[in-house]
Amino acid sequence: MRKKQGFKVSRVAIPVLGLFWLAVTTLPFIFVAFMSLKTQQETFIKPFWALPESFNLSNYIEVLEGSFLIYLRNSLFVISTSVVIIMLFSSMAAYALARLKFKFSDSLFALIIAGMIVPLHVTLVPVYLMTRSMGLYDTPAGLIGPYVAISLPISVFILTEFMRQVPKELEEAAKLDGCGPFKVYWKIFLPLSGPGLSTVAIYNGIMLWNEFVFAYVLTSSTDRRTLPLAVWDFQGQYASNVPAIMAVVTLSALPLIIVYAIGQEKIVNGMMAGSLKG
Amino acid sequence: MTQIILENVEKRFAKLTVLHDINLNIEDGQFCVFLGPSGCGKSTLLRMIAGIEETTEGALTIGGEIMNDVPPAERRVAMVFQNYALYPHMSVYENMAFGLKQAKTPKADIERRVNEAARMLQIEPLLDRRPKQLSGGQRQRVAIGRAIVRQPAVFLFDEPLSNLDAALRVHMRSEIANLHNDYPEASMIYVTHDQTEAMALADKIVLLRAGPDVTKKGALPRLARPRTLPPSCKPVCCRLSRLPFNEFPEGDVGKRRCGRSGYQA
Ligand SMILES: Nc1ncnc2c1ncn2[C@@H]1O[C@H](COP(=O)(O)OP(=O)(O)O)[C@@H](O)[C@H]1O
Ligand SMILES: [Mg+2]
Repeated sequence: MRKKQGFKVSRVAIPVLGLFWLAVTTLPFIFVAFMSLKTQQETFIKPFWALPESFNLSNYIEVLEGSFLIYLRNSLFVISTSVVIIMLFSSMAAYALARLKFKFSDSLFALIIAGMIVPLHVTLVPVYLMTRSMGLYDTPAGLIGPYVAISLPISVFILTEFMRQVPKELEEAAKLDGCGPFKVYWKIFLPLSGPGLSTVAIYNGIMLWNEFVFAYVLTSSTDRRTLPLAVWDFQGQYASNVPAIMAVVTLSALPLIIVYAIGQEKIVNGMMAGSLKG
Repeated sequence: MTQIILENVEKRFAKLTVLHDINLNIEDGQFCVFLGPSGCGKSTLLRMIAGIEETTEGALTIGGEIMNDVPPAERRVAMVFQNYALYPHMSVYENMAFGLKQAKTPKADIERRVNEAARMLQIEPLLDRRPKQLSGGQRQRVAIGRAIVRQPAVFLFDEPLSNLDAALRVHMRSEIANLHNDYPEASMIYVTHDQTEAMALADKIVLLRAGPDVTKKGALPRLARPRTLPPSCKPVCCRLSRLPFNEFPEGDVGKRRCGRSGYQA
């Protein structure tokens, strides 16, 4: 890929750009984490960028004694259920679109992909009305439907590309071994789409973990809301208690960070696989 | 009861006729080789017998039973693919057991059959490995093992040796010949474009050629007619190995060189 001429420049430029990007993404978070360790007075007296005076966890204790854990529980429930359904539905759709040639399958694929073009917020009002009329308003479960729906196009896209790479002979061998279409999907295509599935799970998991607008519109009570709304609610509750809000932000991001730390290799591989093939 | 009969079989992909007027009789336990240049429809014919590809016209009979609409798994055929097509996410054992499991064979039975096949093919130490951890020759054996455990009436091989290096190819060729001796009642159909391979293995060679309009228009090969050379036709076979095989004038082979019209058009 690299041209010979630009070789020396890129040797310097790439690390510099990398460091720059690292700074852009991590400095705000480090700032937030430090801020969450300060006392309220410190934030008023000391300069903005000063390090915290002591390792002071009182903000965290305060937040955890509040309703944070309820938000966390709701988030975990909504996101994990959504992601499982997304993986199941999009992989089934992808298998059908990639391998079962049927009438209009190409048009159907195009239509699903076109779903990516629809601006999300346009659907907000209809989704709200539908949720109300189905009696799912202000329930965590009411979020799952819209979350699955908004994630399907990109997921189907990624997995369809992935499944097109599975050699035709594997499918034929499975047919000879006595598998019908569903068995072929379940026993061959699903296990072989591992990297694609993890890309889908990670991409959507992160996006939905941070999703705000739908959660805001479709729920109203504290014990039904997800984490992105915790900050919103705490802002009202703590007024100007900036360190406490920062503690909420840090705690909200923590699960993602832990997951990343544990599964780093898999995540990167999954994203690479997706990006190379998708 | 493993005789295979094709009557007036034709294969079209949309408007493209790949095979037509195929009449073929493969006897019980015969080792039949489909020989022909690349793209002439050998694989397509084999896949039709396997049931992976639909038969557009004509009748296909295996062991006296019309098989046109029988699903692949119920045709009592087993296939070895050119690229082996082992399931990469399963161990060697699971690869071989997969078909039996789908057929709800009792567990003890599966174990016995897989172990037996593994012993025969000398892949016992590999049973826990994944296909990725095997060499080409080992993968080939596993693919053959997967076919054996199903105890099929017909073995189908689609250029099984073309991915192996020359030395191994000769070795595996003799193993396939041995397989034929070990399962004398099963018919075997073997696709290749290598004449030496065909000579070494066949009881019967079916010659397929690309149709005439190919050369004219430079289009894809469209027509192919099989011609069966009877095994007694040794002189022809020897001749064949030194000649480009799609240049026989039509109808000449059997009569002139064999001294009798022993071919089926
Ligand atoms: N699914 C398909 N759709 C259209 N044409 C096909 C298909 N499969 C094979 N063909 C055509 O059929 C002809 C025979 O192919 P094949 O049986 O693979 O040849 P061989 O195995 O003898 O090399 C080729 O011209 C190929 O392009
Ligand atoms: Mg072929």
